[in-house]
Amino acid sequence: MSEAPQSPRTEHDAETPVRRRLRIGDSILSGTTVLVSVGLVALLAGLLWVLEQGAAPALMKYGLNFFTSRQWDPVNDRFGALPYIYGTVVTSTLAILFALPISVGLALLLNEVRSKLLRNPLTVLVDLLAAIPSVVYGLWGLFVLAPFLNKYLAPALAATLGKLPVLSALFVPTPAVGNMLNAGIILAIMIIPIITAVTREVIATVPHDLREAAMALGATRFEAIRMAVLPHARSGIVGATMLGLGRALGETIAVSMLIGNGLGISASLLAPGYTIPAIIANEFREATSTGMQHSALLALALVLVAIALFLAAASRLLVGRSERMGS
Amino acid sequence: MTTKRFVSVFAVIALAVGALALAGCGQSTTSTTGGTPAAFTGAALVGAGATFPGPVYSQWAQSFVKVEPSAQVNYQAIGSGGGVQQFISKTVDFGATDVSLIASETAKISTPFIQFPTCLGAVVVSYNLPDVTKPLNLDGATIAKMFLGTITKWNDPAIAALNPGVTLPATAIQVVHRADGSGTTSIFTKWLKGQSPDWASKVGAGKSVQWPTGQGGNGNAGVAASMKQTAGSIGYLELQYALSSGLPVASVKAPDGQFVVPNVDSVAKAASDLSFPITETTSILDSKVAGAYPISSTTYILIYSDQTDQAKAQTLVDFWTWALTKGQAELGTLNYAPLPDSVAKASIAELAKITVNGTAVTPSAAVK
Repeated sequence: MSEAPQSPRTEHDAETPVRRRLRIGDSILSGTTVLVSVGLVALLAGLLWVLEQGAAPALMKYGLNFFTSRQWDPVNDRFGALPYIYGTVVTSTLAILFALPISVGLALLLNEVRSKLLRNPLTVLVDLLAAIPSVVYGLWGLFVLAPFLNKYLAPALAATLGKLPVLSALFVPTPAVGNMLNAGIILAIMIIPIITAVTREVIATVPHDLREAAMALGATRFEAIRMAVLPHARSGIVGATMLGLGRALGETIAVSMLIGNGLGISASLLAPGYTIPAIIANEFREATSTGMQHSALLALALVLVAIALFLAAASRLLVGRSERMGS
Repeated sequence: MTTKRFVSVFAVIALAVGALALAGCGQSTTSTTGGTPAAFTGAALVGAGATFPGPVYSQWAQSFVKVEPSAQVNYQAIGSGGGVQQFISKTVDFGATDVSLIASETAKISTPFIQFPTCLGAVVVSYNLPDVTKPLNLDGATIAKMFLGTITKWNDPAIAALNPGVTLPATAIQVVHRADGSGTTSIFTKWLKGQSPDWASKVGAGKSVQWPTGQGGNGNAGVAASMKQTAGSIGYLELQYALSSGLPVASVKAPDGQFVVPNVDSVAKAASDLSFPITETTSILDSKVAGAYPISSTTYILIYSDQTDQAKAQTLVDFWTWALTKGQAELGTLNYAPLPDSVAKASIAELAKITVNGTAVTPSAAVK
């Protein structure tokens, strides 16, 4: 408080009732914000502590084996997280691969197109996509998208990319309804609105001078976007991607409906898989309290939180670095 | 506009006042002791447990309000494990479980309690073979092999031997199982464990197991949806769901060698030799009764027999007596099977053990 710069006023008018009231208001505000922020940190710490407490028995019992084992056998009390970590990473990666180019393209379109007739409905539509509950995406995916993809996309992929020497392992078809590719696609659809909305805002903040300068130097519109707009917006796009990735990692119900919930690890994207949120949602309700199942599920939750925190930290680093490079 | 709103607000207030007045009447009738004995109108009950009978208990709760207007039976289908847990910690008025209490659970209960079945269900084996119109016959060993992934084609000699005269396609068998932990899986795997030593050693039985092959669907609806989209699929569903889903169901070989079609009658037969008291080993799987469907199951209610609240105890006895008599008629529409008469009577005899501070509770006139 004492470090606040002194405003040019005399000693006695600082003590008028109005000033005093303002000061009281200030202290209430700062008190509340401190309380809330400490509370938030305490909440996160408490959450981690509870998860850690619950997960400890399983982590102690299985040790590092928990992360490398492919077993998930509630009957014989053997648990390993590898298939779920694998499924989570693969589906989220697929989602980002599909969603990022589309979202950046959409965001550019929404910024560059001057016709309000096209821009406004498109913006509303993209925002509406974000408002659809995930269970609705799941239902639509199960009854509409998956049958369509299984009938047309999967055979086409198997017949083309599946014939190439290295990629063939990725596209071995199975007749299962759910598979990792379908889950990745539904996730991409779900995160496109988030990435698009944030990217659009970031691109809108790129100074017009930059674009005009590039144009003045003879750049085409595409070159201006590539050389002036995108580098300036890079850190924002990375941030947007991380937001989308966060949602993709944690998405539960839609993925569970479309991934096939198959145990084990399969290299093929057209085979059923399983993710961490999906198995927690599926098995927690009826998990046995006698064995390690309960604890193993909490350990999986801890792993998911760890992956999310790691990604958040990594994105901060990335954003920081690209900002320094940009300036 | 404003008059409309005024009218609707008025209507809401009128309704609320009316409801309050009704509730007031209900209370006053229970408290009147002099003159003609007023009808008992019930008290609120809270129960929790198995998901399998969930639809039945909520239907019963709705219908029972017509018998005793103040009897609000609130049933939370949180799973059998949770139901037993809440029953042991005495946070509910009754618990519900698909598996009769095991020794380690009864050891935690120090006060006397009763345990009785309320309705029957079954797990049926369903399949999607568009070209096969005649219902298939299957036995335990073959079903186990199909779910283990050791029989991979529908025209396997083992399946053909059980179905003379049926042309089976060479389609690959696609297993669809439940992804969520469920009592249905528990009953099915328990039965498979008894049918196949291979299943017992490789997979075992439980609410969720390590499936050797196949894809998982969420709930009965998820399994049925996946099965309908996958030609050559085989899966297991709850009886009531399978019968309404339109998927064909297999006849399963009973211990006496007969193939039994799963339906409400064949499931009821399975329970006809159920004996009391219910113990850890009570089970109607693989019933020896002729014509009984082998993968049948029942579900139990748990109530402490020494109650302390008169109104609650009376409602407990009334509600379950009603459920075991008149309520059984409502089961058919939900595709659950009613208890055989002898078993229902034995369950009612269990209810007679309920006392309030030492005095026995007899069912009210309204439920008889």
